[in-house]
Amino acid sequence: MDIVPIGDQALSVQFENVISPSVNRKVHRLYEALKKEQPAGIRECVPSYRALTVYYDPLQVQYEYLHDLIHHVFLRMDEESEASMNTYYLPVCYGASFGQDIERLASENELSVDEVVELHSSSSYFIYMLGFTPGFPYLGGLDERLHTPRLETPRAKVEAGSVGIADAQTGVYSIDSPGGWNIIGKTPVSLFNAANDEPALLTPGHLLRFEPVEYKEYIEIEKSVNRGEYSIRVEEEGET
Amino acid sequence: MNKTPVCTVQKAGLFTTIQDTGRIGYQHLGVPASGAMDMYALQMGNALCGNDLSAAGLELTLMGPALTFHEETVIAVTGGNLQPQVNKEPIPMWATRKVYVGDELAFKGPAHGARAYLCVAGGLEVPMVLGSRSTYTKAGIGGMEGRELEGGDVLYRGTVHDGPRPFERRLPKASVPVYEKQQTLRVVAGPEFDTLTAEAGSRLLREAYVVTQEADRMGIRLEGPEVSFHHTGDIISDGVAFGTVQLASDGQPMILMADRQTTGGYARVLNVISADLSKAAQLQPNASVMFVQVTLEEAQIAFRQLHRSLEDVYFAVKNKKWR
Repeated sequence: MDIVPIGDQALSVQFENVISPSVNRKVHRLYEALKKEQPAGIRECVPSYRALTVYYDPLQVQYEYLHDLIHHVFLRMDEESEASMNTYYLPVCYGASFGQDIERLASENELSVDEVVELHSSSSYFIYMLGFTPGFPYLGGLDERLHTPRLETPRAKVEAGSVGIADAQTGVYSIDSPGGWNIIGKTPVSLFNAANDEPALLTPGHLLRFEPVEYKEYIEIEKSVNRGEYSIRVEEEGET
Repeated sequence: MNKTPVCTVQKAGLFTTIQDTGRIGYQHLGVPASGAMDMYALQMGNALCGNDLSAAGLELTLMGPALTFHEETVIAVTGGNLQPQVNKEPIPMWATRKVYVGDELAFKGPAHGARAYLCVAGGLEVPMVLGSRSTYTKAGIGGMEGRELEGGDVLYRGTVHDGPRPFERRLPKASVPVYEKQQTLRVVAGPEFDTLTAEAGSRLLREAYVVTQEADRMGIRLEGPEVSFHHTGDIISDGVAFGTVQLASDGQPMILMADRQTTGGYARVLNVISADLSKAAQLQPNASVMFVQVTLEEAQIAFRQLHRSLEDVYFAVKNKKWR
């Protein structure tokens, strides 16, 4: 573990420089441990793939003090227990009017559209972190056969809920934004709502699966989402 | 909640938003911190008006709005000099000013700097979203319904703490920042500074860079001598801070500002120190920038000094030592 400054009001606690669930779990364990400790002067912490960024108030706490304190918290952390992982199920309508790039993506990868849907919806994706836009999940575990370069020219607007692929990554646009990902479908569920007690739908450290739904079902779910009645299926580890 | 209409927006200006000192505690969900670009200017405006330092004000960009007041109140305009006028008469910056019912505040245009702040006694009152009144337009949250101001908007203020209102308080010249067209920004080394070749590192700290047209609340893109890495500049997406200087694969730096995304995949080679972020916030396209390296300790001393000057004004006003 290394601690380095990012400017005069933040520092980065860095673990191994790789994308792997085991390294990411250390980040989240330290994040939880610091949340419990609540050291004075820490404003907030942001977990990413392999590092925890700690934002602090230099009027309240010295860098050297925080540096030592974080080391101590890290050393005192419980031995890694098997973290229990939930699986979130996100309904997605693939293709149709929602996935304008799915046919091209299929032919570029020498697959049928059905095979793209089958491959994309049969993996469990590890949620490493949220970032890029509010509530956007960085996911690991996209099948190599689906890796596809991003669009040469990004679109000015991609609608929230759009499910896309860019290089080795898949993800869901959490708000309307410009973007260059290949869009293969859409979920009617919001990944971010500032009015909710828990504004982000997904929590890092857990798993996400995409569940194919037909257009009709998509519309039904969308209505239920708009009435504020829909919640996604979450399976706790150990359930079948 | 005390909520009094204070003024109506007649013309919106180029990009006018409600900002406070930022949205703290939601970056782990990917929600940008936002807040004033020039935090010192907003906070000093608040201090002069007798507000909490974190109260919300208006951030005005290059071309300010036109506002008509509905009540007698105290305002202060700080930050970049956009030439404020009340009823077409110039008013001083970095000073309180009493306005009356029907008075019109307008701006002639930028003389120095890029952004001014309008603070009103009592602070601007809009619903808190995720703990802040700051506007983040890209996600449509905070401020005035998540958007920039439009003609016809009515602004409300909160409770005035300041008792009998002073006629005019003017900040001593020594506390008024100077925003230059050729700006030196002090920096500390970032986590990936060492991925630069030795020559690239010293070039970055020696040469002048020019501010491009891409300079907004998210970041300021610079253009200058290309800087190269030992291997690649790209990193596994990681945390950034206000003032982080990223180096994209094209070798050109970008200073991340208030609406920066919470994480990024480019090398974080430098960080503008907090005490100089105001100067960065006031850069206009075509201005030139040079980076000068300081130590973390020097950076934090400079920040403490800046904060002390804010507190001096804040407490002088609060304790009625300055009328």
